[in-house]
Amino acid sequence: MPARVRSAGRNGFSLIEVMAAVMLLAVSLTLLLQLRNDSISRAMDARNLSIAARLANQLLHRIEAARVSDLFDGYQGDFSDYDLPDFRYVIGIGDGSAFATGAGSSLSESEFAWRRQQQEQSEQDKEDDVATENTRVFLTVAYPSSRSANEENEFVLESLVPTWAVEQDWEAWEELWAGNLPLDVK
Amino acid sequence: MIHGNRKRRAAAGAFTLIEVLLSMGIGILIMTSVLSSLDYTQRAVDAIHNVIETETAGPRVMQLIREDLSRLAVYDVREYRLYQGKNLSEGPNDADRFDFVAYRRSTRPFHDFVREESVWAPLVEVGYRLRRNPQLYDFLELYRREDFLQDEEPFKDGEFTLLYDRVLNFDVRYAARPESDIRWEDEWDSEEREGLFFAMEIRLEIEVQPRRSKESLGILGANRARLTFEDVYAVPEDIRWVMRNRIHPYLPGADEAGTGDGGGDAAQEGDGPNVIGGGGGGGLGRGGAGGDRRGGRTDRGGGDGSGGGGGP
Repeated sequence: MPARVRSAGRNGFSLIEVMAAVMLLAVSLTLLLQLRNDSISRAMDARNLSIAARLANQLLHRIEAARVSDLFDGYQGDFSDYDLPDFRYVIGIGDGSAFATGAGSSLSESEFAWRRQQQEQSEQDKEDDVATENTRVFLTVAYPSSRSANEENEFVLESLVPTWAVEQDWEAWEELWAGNLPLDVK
Repeated sequence: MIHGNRKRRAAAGAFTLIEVLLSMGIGILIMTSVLSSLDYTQRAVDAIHNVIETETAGPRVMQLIREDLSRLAVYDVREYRLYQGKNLSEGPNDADRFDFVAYRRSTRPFHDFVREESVWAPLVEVGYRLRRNPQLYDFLELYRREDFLQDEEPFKDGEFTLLYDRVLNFDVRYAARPESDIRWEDEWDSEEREGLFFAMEIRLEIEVQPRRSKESLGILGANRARLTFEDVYAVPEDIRWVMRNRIHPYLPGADEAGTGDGGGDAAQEGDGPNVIGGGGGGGLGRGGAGGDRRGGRTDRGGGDGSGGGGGP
């Protein structure tokens, strides 16, 4: 009872009260900083995903214009030409491509069976010399993750592209579309 | 004695040195933490701004151009006047321009005073032009031109909308046909060439304006102020075919309205030339669409349906 009177008389905080307040402050500041770091890493991931999508689309447009030479199933490269060497790509060709879903994820059983069947059909078509009008192309762009330096995320783009453009078959193009040629420069 | 001390302190209303030092220490600690947190937050905001600037400005312009090009108005083109691309420069900077007609809804309506309503055009003239930035002389301003419907001068006039004001170079090249060693041309006139290009390559170089400091740029690695965006647009071959062969759309029920059949039957046989639209008998020629699209020779001598009056 006398101690309480003394404390009230001094009108101050005890050491334990100050330590508790500082501790609360430290915890809340730590949480806020973690939140900040988390938002930055999310922004970084969003930016990288956006770049990956843009690069994949650019690459697809180049394939559509027959500007990617010697294309094959599993064709790989990176985007160092655009100052983005951390962004790498793998191109899968054909319905039965082993690179249909990128390297990071595996096919489901039913999809694997379907792709296997498509692969066999494609091989049979080649044997029978049957040309398909369009070819399915899978573009997987791997980009750095913000979580760790060794981890990568993937963006997969799938599209149908004219077969002559994928195979750079100029004769096939001539056969199909030679009538589209404009006049020469006067 | 103790009682006397307390009375003196209470009368003075003061803190001991250790109390003041402790409270100052805590205050400094709190201020430092809060200020550094604020500073980091501000940097993060700036960094996110830079990311938005770097990853939206250029791609947004490229996407807009691509969307416009994908709607080329290839039907009913008079004298192949659909596309005109010119190789120009502004001092040391590439400032190519191109104009064309597109099936796009106009961005601004026209007010019809008779019906008292706003009308949007389903067809517009579109163009991309650059001019020197009057405030920042090192840069160019990129504008999108849009003219309501199509007039006698499809590559002129209209309203201009500023797309970006810190462009360094805007270079466009064209290829007539696909080949391994592709030959790029700097200009394209569809009237002169009587057809469309196979592909066009667009290169846009911009300089983004970092909002704040190098530190903020470093946070997300968005540390490049100068950015180059490249894209290739290959015109779908069936679109080129429609343009090259001057196809006119067939409207269901047009026969009942007494419109001419034109040379459609000749085209459908496929052996002969694709005579499109007939000799101007009716307005709605229906030939060609069913013809052999694999390269039948085009005969423009038969007249085009658009000249027949009343064509769509």
